[in-house]
Amino acid sequence: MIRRVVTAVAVIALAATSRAQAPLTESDRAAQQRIETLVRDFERRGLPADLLRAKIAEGTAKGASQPRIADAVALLALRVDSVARILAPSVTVPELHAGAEALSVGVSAPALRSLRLAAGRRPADPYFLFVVRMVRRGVTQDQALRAARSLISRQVATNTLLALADDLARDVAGGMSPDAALSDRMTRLVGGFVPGAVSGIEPPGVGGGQSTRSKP
Amino acid sequence: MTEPGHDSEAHMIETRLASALAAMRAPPVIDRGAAARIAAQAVLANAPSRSANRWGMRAAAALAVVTLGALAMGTRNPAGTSTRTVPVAAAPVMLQSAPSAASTRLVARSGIAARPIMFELDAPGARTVQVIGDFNDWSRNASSMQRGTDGRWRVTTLLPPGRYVYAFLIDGERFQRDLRRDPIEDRDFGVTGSELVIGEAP
Repeated sequence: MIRRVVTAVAVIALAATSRAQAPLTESDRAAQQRIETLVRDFERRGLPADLLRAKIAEGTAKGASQPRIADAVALLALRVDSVARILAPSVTVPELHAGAEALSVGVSAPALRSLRLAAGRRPADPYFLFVVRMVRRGVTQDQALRAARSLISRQVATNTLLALADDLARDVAGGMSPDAALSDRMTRLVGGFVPGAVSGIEPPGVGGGQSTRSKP
Repeated sequence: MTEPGHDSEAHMIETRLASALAAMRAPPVIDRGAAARIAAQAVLANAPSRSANRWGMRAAAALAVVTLGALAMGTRNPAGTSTRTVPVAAAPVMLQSAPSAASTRLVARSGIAARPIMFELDAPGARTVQVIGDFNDWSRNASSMQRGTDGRWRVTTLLPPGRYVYAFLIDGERFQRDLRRDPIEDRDFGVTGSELVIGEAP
C-alpha cells in the first residue's frame, strides 16, 4: 500500500518537475500513466518494482523527458519480465537485475537459463554480470559464455571474476584481441580453456585440457 | 508433576534447538564469493528502500507544491487522477530474495563491511560537483563533492561490495563520466556513465 502511494506520488513529482520546466503535454500525461501502469503491474505480480523506480529516478536525474523515461522503464520491465520467465520458477532480485543487463547485451534466453542451471544453488548473477562485462569489453558472446561456464564448474570466487575482467581490460588496452586475452587469462586461471567459437554452452568440464601455460 | 506428553514435547523442542544450533555452528556452505554476493544483493535490495524513502519525502514536497499550484490555477493535476491497469499475465516466478531489511541484517551478521570509496574529478572551473548514481538513487544532492586545495573535487562514500553505475554532475547541468573507470553506454537517456565494481575486502 505504502509503495503504491509512493509510486503515485513519484509520478506526480515527475509531473511537478516537468511542469516547472515546461507545460505538461498530452504525451507527458500518457507517459506518466504508462509508468504508473508498469509499476503497478510489477507490484501486482510480485516483481521488483523498485528496479523500475530506480530507472525513473535515473531518468529524472538526467533530465530526460517523460516519454523517454517511460520508454526506458517499459524496456527494463520487458527485460526483467523476460528474465523472470526464463529463470522461473524461482529467481532472486539480483539475478533479475543482472539477467536484464545480460539480455541488453544480446545474451540469449537459453544461454541465461543454462548459466543459471550450471550455477546450481549458487547465485547466478555474478556470472551474468561477468558475461556482460566481457561482452562490453569486446569478447564474443560465445567465448564469454564458455568462460563463465568454465568458471562456474570450478567454483571461482567472485573477486576472481572481477579481477579477471580488470586484467582483460588491461590486456586489451595493451593491444591483445579481447578473445585472445580472455583465452590467455582463462588458461592462467584455470589451467585449461580451449579458445574458439562454440555453437552453444557446453556442460561443465568440457573444454579443458589444452593448457598453453602453466598455472602460476 | 509432569503432564503426559510434556516430555516428548520438551524432547522435540530440544531436538529442534540442537539442530538449529548445529546448523548455526556449522561452517557456511557458501564461499567468500557467495558472501560477497549477499552483500551485493543487499545493495540492490537496499537501494529501492532508500529510493522509496527519498521519493516519498521529495514527492510529498512536490505534491504539496503541485497541489498549491493547482489550487492557485483553479485546476487539478491530471497526474493525480487514477490510471487504468492493463491486465498482464502473471509470470510464474517466485522471488527468492528476502525483504531488504532481512538482507541488511544478514550482511551485518556476515561481517561484510562497506568500504570507503573515493570519487575524484579534475574540474578546476566547476562551481559545484556531485557524484550521482544508483548507489544514491541518482540524487542530485546526496553526494556533493568538495574541492581540495589542489583544485580536484573529491568525496568518499561507504559502499558495500557490488556493481554500481554513476556519473559526475558539474554545476548542476553537465554530466561527465569518470575517466578512470570503464564507461557504460546509456542507451536509455544518452548520458554515458562509469562502472564501479567493488569486490569483497581481502
